[in-house]
Amino acid sequence: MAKEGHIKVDGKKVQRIDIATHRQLMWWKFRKNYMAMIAAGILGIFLIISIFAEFIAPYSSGLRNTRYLAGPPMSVHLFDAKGKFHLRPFIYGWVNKRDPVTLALIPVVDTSKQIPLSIFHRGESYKLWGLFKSNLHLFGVNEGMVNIFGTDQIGRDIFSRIMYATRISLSVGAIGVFFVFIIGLLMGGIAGYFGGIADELIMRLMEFLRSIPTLPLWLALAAALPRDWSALKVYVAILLILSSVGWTNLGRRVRSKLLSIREDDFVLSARLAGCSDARIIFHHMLPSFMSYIIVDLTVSFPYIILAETALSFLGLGLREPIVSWGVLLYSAQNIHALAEIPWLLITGLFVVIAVLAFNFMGDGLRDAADPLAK
Amino acid sequence: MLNLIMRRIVTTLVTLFLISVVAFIIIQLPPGDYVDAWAGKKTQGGTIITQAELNNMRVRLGLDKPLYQQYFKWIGDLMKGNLGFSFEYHRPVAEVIGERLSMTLLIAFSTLAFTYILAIALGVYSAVKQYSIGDNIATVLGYIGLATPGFLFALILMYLGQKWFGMSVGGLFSFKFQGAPWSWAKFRDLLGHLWVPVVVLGMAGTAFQLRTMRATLLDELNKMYVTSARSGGIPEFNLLMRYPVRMALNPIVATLGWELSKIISGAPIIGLVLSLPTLGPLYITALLDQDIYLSGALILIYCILVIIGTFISDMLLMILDPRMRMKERS
Amino acid sequence: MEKKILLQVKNLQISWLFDKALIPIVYGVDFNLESGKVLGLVGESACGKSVTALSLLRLLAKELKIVNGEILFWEHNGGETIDITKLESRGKDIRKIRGGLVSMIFQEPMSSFSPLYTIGYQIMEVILLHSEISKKEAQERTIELLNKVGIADARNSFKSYPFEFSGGMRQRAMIAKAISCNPSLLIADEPTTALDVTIQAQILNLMRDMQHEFGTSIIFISHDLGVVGQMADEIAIMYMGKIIERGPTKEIFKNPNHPYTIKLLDAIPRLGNLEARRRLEPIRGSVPGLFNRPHGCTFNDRCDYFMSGICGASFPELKEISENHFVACYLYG
Repeated sequence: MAKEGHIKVDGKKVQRIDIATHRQLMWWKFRKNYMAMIAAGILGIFLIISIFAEFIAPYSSGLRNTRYLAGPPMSVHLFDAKGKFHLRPFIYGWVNKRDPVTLALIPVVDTSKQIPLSIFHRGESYKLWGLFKSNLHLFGVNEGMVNIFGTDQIGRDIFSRIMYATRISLSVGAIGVFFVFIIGLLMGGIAGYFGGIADELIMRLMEFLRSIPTLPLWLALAAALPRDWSALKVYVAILLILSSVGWTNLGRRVRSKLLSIREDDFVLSARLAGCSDARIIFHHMLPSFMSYIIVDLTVSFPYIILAETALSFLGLGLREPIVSWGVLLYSAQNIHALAEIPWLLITGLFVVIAVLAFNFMGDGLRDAADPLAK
Repeated sequence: MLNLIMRRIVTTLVTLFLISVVAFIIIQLPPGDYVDAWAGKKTQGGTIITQAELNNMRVRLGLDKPLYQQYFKWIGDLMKGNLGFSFEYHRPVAEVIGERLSMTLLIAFSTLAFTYILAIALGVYSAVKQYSIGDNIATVLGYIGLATPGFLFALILMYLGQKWFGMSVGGLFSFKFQGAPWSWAKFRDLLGHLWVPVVVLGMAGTAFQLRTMRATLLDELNKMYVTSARSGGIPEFNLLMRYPVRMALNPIVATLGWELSKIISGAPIIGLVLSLPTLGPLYITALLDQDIYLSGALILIYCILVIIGTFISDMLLMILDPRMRMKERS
Repeated sequence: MEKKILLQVKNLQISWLFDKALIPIVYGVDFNLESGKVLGLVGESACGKSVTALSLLRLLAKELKIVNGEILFWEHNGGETIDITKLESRGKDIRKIRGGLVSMIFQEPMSSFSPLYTIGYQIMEVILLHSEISKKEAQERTIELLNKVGIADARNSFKSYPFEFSGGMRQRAMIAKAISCNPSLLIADEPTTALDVTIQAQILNLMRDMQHEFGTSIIFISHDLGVVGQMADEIAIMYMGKIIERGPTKEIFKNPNHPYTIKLLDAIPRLGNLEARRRLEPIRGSVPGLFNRPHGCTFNDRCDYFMSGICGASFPELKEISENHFVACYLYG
């Protein structure tokens, strides 16, 4: 038989879906989904940001540019006001001027002064992952500060804060999904494999949890956290709260899959061959629907991220000095702040892009899990 | 049918009992009680309060009794239709909730109607004209709708409203109608404001149900019974509506209760951002102030709404699908 | 009886649009059907027989395209000749034919009725579309039809849902729906495959009775040569999208010519074989996939009489070797 994966039909290359392996088929199907591929790329970038946040962000999340409060994003230029090209990107300087009407100090761009950006800039020192001491940043300036996404009311660099927030929000998603995975697998597994009373009880519990509207429940639980807890303790508690309700979908899936394949011939033959319960579950049953579990987990990622964002937005979730997307949006809560500093909403863009990417990737994976379906 | 309704009512009562217990536990979870929260606020304001005063207050509010006694008093009062007393507002909870409940219901059910009408219409269009420009636009909008948190969308609308039109899109009434008696003009004013929360709250649900509708309908379109019906010579539009579309309605009708639950879930945060006269903002402040009877009553109301939604969806499903009727009969 | 041609299929070619390439499914099919006769279309699964059947009513899925050929249909009473391939697949003209002049029975009686409507409604719907009678008359006619196809208590069955019927009952109802408007042609796509053997026989009898009573022509599609032999006046055998042998039923059974037909007949269990303790003869190899269709005669890699240089060159033409008996094989001619 021909080994190559393609054949020419009608002058066009066609994949040999008749001889491809299952994994090949899944990859082909996923690869063909451009949106899913782009989404995977974007999530890759987000992952790099979360790993190297200290390096990519020019400043720490709390550092204030006291001379540039509520300052608009500084744009990076390659051409100066006279149209001259500069190989090194630069930003313009600015001066604080008094608004003649409100008498407030507002920063005004000063095109006469050019401040070049330096790449791999030596700046504020930090400890990467709390381990390696360094002061190398992706970019920075030698004079004053560069705030490419602007600053908030008290002059903190929004770009840097978003980089750190990306790390926290994604970690909430990842750890939350991990908890969901463990709880869902355990509960669904017990219900589906053993059946009987255990199944009945777990099913009732799932039904009960689903009959309570989630956000109000989360709000009530989050409001119950003591005010004097440290930010880290709150972080763990919020994760537990989010996953304690979020596991029901996965649990349901695991249960129904186990129930339906429990009677399948391949499980029966494994049993006849003398496999132990554990071996049957982990070696034979789980792999047969692992792809569905991966899809479910990818899809539940954005839900957890959105839930955390909503809680923190209300001031009931994470709090400073831990910054997540929700914490950043908290300061955009009232319309006056928003009217004055609309660039606070840039954080929202990150939320939307992340969730979009997870959804597209989830869809791509879902289609790929069933590669021959049209 | 009657038998079924009876059975449903019994299970619903059991669920409600469980929810009331859970609600009571949750609202008791925070360390300290209302008196502590109140004292904290007062001391911040500079007032000095003695321990004796606090104890007096506890006795007056019944907070000195053991928890189970507080619960049974609460639940006993609930049975009598008494929702308890709001410490914060110094008024009965029922009174505080008052008109806000009807506004909440109005928004919730308008959103539900908006979601389903739009999702079904667009879903059918998208599936029938798969990969057309319209389908692609609907798909992209659907994805964005799913990915944008409702409060962010509300913030953006508010910002744009402020910036472009210099008007506030928040609230349900213009300033001059607040507290005014009901009139035709006030009703029209309400409609003029209602669409903002409805669109914001319904966006994610519409996107989700639209995708479900499209996917199910695409599946159904290729089923044998459609070809079989087509072989009888039924005109395409009638065929579409009577056969695959009616079949594709099942999953989205089955999730109606769940959808209502999501709308209710999103309501507090949207209510807060858009400063709506609904239960949501009340709920959040009640939680923060540990105004336990108010927050407890609100959790119960939210749960009851979800239960009603599930009940409606089950009934609709029975009307739509004869197989469901058969299953219930046997 | 005077010979009257009802349907003529000429060089029908259908392709599958996959990955932007057109992959041929039906390679050029020709046959004629006379009024009142039964044609059996036989072949293994995926040989293109169902696709051919669906194309006669333009019911093909979107990815399947008729790329060439004609399907000519002669209307009964002095009507004109219609080329079905030229009609709009979702248009008004084809709808008049569907259910009215030509109707169809499908393989899966389970899934060919919508579970949301009563059997009666779904039959009545077709009647109301093709004739100008009142709802009440249509309902009476439906009950009469259900009676005729042997459904007990037709009046109550009218109000039953498909899932309350057994497979055999559903297929009876399907037949009732198909004959409801006195069509001149009935296409039956594996109508008995999904049924138990005893029910199979009942349904075949029913179809034969209906054919005698109404004089309907039938195209009977099956993978089972034995079943087709009981029904058909003429048999056409398909292999990989081509008809490789066609002729009167008796002639095909007595005097099969194409090596594939011979093998197919050998694979039918017969009483005689059992007594002689002869093993059933399987056909060597399996049907090649759509992607590696052999050059020349598509059967050449499984054929015992393979002639190198001849069979691999081009596909043999159908040739008439005796009256009305056509074979596409280089062994003959």
